[in-house]
Formats: sequence, structure tokens, C-alpha cells
Amino acid sequence: MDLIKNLFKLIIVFFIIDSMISFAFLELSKLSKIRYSRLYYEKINADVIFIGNSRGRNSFDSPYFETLSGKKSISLSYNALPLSLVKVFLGDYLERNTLPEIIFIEVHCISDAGYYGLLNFKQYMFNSVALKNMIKKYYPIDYYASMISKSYIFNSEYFIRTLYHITKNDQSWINRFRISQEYYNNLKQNEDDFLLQKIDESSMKIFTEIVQKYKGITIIPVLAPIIDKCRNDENINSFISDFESRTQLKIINYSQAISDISMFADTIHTNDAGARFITKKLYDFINADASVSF
Amino acid sequence: MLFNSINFIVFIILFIPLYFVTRGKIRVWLSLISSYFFYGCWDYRYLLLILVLTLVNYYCAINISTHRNVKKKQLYLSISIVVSLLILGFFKYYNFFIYNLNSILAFIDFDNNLSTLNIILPVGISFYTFQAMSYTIDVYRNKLEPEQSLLIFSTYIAFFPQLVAGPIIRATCFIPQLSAKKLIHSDRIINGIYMVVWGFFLKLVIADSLAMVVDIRFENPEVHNALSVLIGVVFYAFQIYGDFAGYSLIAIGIAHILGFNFPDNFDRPYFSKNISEFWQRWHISFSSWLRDYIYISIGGNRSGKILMYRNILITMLLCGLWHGAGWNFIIWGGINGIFIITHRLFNVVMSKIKFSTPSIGFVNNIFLLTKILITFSFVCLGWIFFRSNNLYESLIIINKIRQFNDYHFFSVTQKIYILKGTMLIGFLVFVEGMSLMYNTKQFLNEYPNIKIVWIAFILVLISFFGTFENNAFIYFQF
Repeated sequence: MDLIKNLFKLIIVFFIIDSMISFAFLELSKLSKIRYSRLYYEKINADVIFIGNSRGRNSFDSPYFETLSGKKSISLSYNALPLSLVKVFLGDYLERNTLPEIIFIEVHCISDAGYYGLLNFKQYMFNSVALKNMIKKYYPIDYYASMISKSYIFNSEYFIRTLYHITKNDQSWINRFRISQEYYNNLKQNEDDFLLQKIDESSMKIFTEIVQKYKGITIIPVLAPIIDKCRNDENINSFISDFESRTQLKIINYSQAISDISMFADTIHTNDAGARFITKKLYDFINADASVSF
Repeated sequence: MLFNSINFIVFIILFIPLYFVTRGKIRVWLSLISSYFFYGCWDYRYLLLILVLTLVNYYCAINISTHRNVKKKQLYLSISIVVSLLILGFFKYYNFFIYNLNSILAFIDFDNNLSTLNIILPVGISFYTFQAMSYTIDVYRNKLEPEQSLLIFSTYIAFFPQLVAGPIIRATCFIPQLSAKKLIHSDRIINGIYMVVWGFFLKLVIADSLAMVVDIRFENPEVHNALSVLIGVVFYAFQIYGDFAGYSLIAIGIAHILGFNFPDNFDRPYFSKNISEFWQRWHISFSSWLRDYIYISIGGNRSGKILMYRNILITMLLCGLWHGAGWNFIIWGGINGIFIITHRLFNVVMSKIKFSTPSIGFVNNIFLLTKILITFSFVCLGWIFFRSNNLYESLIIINKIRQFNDYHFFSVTQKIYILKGTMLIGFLVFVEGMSLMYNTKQFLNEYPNIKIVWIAFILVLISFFGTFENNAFIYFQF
């Protein structure tokens, strides 16, 4: 009898502590200035959205674009963000905010339609039906664990970033490293061959759904810079022509736009200097292109 | 089957009620079959090894005890030891031996390359082999009456909580408890749950969180700066502690729930004030095994100082070899042996110059803390060899730290994980430090409600910080 009483006490106390801690974490998440907390707990109403994986995060400097254009901009990019999550975040954004004028998508995320990194965002699963369903589908154990222990939804690297950005806007979160000449010299030609080789059909399906769904918005696919030694231009050109013929959208190909290695943080990511350079180029492109209403 | 897997949770949820509703022989049979099932889930073919070891040691022990002739006793002891070591040697050291033999042959221009075998190392082989050997040696030394029941002896060898990664339990401790009456007692079960929960915290929160930082640094130490590498080494010290002490505690906790009292396997080793004390607090069941069956057997401290130092070194080299078939493990054992010898020599010098610790409280505490930090640094130096992929990489790491020229946090990668890891280590050190200073174990036993709150709090920490990726325990490979 004592045992049952004690086990019962343990369960009750667990749920009390769990609820208290998760409540505190939720409030902190709401306060945070990190991009997806803003997405789910604020009205953003941006004119321009940048989205993509880490290449998008490190190539688009949204505060700088805002300065240049005077248009409210936000980056919703995140490391290793697959296209399935791009779709979820764009969908949730558009449900909560006025329609943006332009969405820039860094196309490398098209190579991944999986659900990698999905659990990073489980702290928002009670704010997004799409996110919740995705977690339930791909990670059922984590889904049910989140139902039992609310503090489990905050168990992620992303939540630590959420805390880090509690008062600090994360829009300027771009790599600050600069590769050295020695690092560059040691790179072998095509050592880290870039991944864009052929179009993944399921990715293309998701991308087409995004384009179809948001017809009134200008969607601009961008290919961010890649360091020359690791760039396979043949693969890239074939990818671009395939992509353009299927979507009727033109990719802005900046893969060769930077030759100055001091603008790279590594072989496939630009740093803050590179991001400003690309952002300025995008701004100039928009201004020069009469087809984009801006 | 890993403790940190859904399969194990299902297994233990089914096993515990069955265990308590059964009595006597049926309970022992249940324990044995469940243990074989537990091991067989990994690879059922290797159950044969356990069976062979069990039968050989069982019959040798009985023969040792029945024969009056010392030569015959020695013969059976030798059979038991040779068979046990042959099994261990073949599965664990064969390829290492052939590889080194080939290197020697190549060195003397003898062109005869012996081929290595594609052998999977049976999980926990070093643990159950040593456990079986200790039984037969104890019977030979008349410390133990041989167990007449093959069922009980088989359960002793294969008991699942400690089968694959220890602790190495002596037969004198286990067998009498197996036959003892066991009742469901609330305090015992809550205590057991507390051990299991804290064990899971050490594994899932401490060890697996730190592993993310450690693995990258040891995988490619060249690309990291000195600070980054140093962080990797310190984190590894806590990773291996969390991993191994965590496993031991889960094993001891499960056994506790089932009505067994197993001795502690770790006693806050990083609070040791010298390297000898460290080895009395680290993997206690194995350290005491080495002391009782190797160090003492080869002479211990009975034949003068020089031979004692030699015996320490031999014991520690074997300790290294037990951990793995690689030179890095042997070097790790060797340098720990040298540290222990140096510490003993240092003590002799200190006693000759009549040095004593300052009696002023504050100064004494600083002195104590310095001793702990110095000991920890030496232990970490050893861990570099233990964890590195090869000797060359160990030297790269040591050189990077020694040069002390690039300590910029800016160029350190994984800052978020480092921040998290540092916080977790801080928490662990705080909890263990408090338990050392104020005997919190006794406090929690006196106030069971506080213990329940503490367990619930740790469970929430596991939920929030835990890494649930079914990472294997490091010591499985040993």
C-alpha cells in the first residue's frame, strides 16, 4: 500500500514540477526574439521573407535589406531546414500575417524534402497544426512523450537558442568566421562536391505546392555562393535548367558571385560580409527588374 | 538490449511483476531465462560463450573443492583460468595480436602476412569472464564454498542487470542474496528507483549531451584550437564518468528493486585528492578485482618497495589491456601506473620532510581544492590516450594543449552545446559536492517525501535535457 501511495505521489509531483517548468519555458519562448517565436507569438507583417537552410541563413542579411529598401524584412531560414518545413513555416506565417510582396528561397533546401531537424521545433507544436501532425507522423514516440511531459517539448538545441535570443533579435545571426588562405589552399578541387546534382521529385512536388498556393506573391529562388574549388558548375547548370523548365521560375544564380574568399565562412556558407554582398545584389536585382512589383 | 531503449522498458515492466509473483526456484529460473533473453537480444549465438564459461567454471570449482590433492586443485584452477582467458583472448585480443605480429614480421623483412579474423566482440565479455574467474579463484583460495546448484551459479554469471557492463559482483556477495527471501518493500523500491533515475540522468543527460562536443574534437583534433581541444578532454572526463557510473547505478538500482544489495561501483571519483584515491573511487568492483586477483597474486607489497612498484605497473598495464585491444589503452594503463608510483614516492618524500597540510580552514580548503584539480588534470591526461583514435592523435591533442597559444573562444565551434555541457557539469559537481560535504544520501533517507520530490525533479531534468538516441554505453565495448 505504501508503495502505491509513494508511486502515486511521485507521479503527481512529477506532473506538478513538469507543468511549472514548462510554463516558465513557454513564457520565455514567447518573450524570445528568435525568428520562429516571433512567427508564432507576434504579428510580423513583413514585406519580404527570406527562407532556406543554413545557406539561406548565412546569405540573406534581412536587417541590411530593410535598411536598403525600407521594406520590412524577416529571415525564416534555419540550419538544415528541409523543404517540408519551409512549407510549414511559410503556411503558418501566411495564416497569421498579411501577405508579403516577395519570398526569397535559397534553393539548396530543395535537395532535401525529409524532416531532418523537425524535433528542434517541437516547442511550437501546440501553435501549429501542420507541425504537430508532422511530428506525430514522423516521430510518434516523441509526440506522445510531449503529451506526457510538457518540458520535453523544450528539449532541443533550438530552445537554447531561444533563450540566447531572449532579448536579442536573431536576424543578424550570420556566421562571422572568415576562412584563411591556408584553409583555401588546402582544399582539393571538388573535394566537397556540392549536392545539387538532380532534382528530387518529392521536393519538387512540395515546391510546386508552395508556388501554387501563394500565386499572388513573387517567389524568387536564389542559389547562394559556393567557393570555386567545391563548385561543380556542370551539376549546377543542369539542376537550374531542370528546375526552371519544371517551375517556369527563374533561379537567380549567385553560385559564382563571390570570388573573394574572405567572404566565406566555409566552402558553402558565406559570412556576414558575403551576406551583405549578396543582399545588396538582390536589392539591385529587384530594383532593376521591372517584372517585380516592389 | 540497451537500458536506454524502449525494448528494455517493456522488458523490465514485464519482468518485475513476474519476479515478485514467483518464489524459490521458479524465480531463479525466471531470472536466468530473462537474463539469457536480455543477452540474446543482442546476439543469441554468443550465449554459447556464457554457457561454456558457466559450465567450465562450475565444474572446475566443484572439483577444486572435492580434491584434497593440491596439484589436482591447481590443475582445475588452471583449466578454468586458461579456458576463460582463451575465450577472452580469442574474441578480444586475437586481431590485435596478429596485427602486431604482422608489424614485427614486416619490420624484420619477413614476408608472411597473417590474416586477421572478422570477429564481433561479444558485449560484456570482459565483465562476465572476470566474474566467472573470480569465483573459481575464490573457491581455490578457500574463501568460498562452491555452489552446488548449476541453476544458481548460471544465474550468478548471467544476471542481466550487471551482465554486459558490470559492476563485477563477487559470488560471496551475490549467491547468498539470490536464495534469500525477498519482499516488496516500498522504501527499497523507491531507493532503487532513485538509483535508476539518477543513473539515467548520468547517461542520458550528462554523458550523451557531452558526447556531441567530445566526438567532433577527438575525431579530428587538428582542426580545433587549443581551447576547443581542452574543452573536449574535460568534457570526455565527465562523459565517460556519466556513461559508466550511470550504467552501474542503473544496474545496482534494478538489482536493489529486485532485492539485492550490490556495493557502489563509483564514489564521486573526481573529488579524489590523489591518483591512488581516484582508483579507489573509480570502477571500484574492477579496481578491487585487480587488487585481489592480480596485484596480490603477483606479490603485492610483500616483497619490498621496488617489486611493489613493478607490481603496480604490471597491474595497471593489465588494467589498460582489459579495457581494449589497443596500444592507447595499454599506454593509458601504464601512465596511470606511473602516476600511482609517483604519488607513492611523493608521499615518501613528503613524510621525510615532515610536510603537513596547513591547519587554517580557508588555506586548507584552497589546498584541498588544488589537490583535487591536480588529480583531475592527471586523470584527464590519461583520458586523452584512452579516447583518442590512435597514439598520433593523442600527441596532437597534448601538444595543442601544451603549446597554450590559441585560446580564443571565438573560434571554438558548438558554443551552444558547450554552454549546455558546462552547465550540466556544474550541476553534477554541485550535487556530488553537496553529497560529499553534507551526506545528502542519509538526509534523503530520513525525509522520504523530499526524496520523492528530488526524483520527480531529476525526471523532469531528464525530460528537458536528455538525449534519447539510443546511444550505446561506452563500456559495452570492453
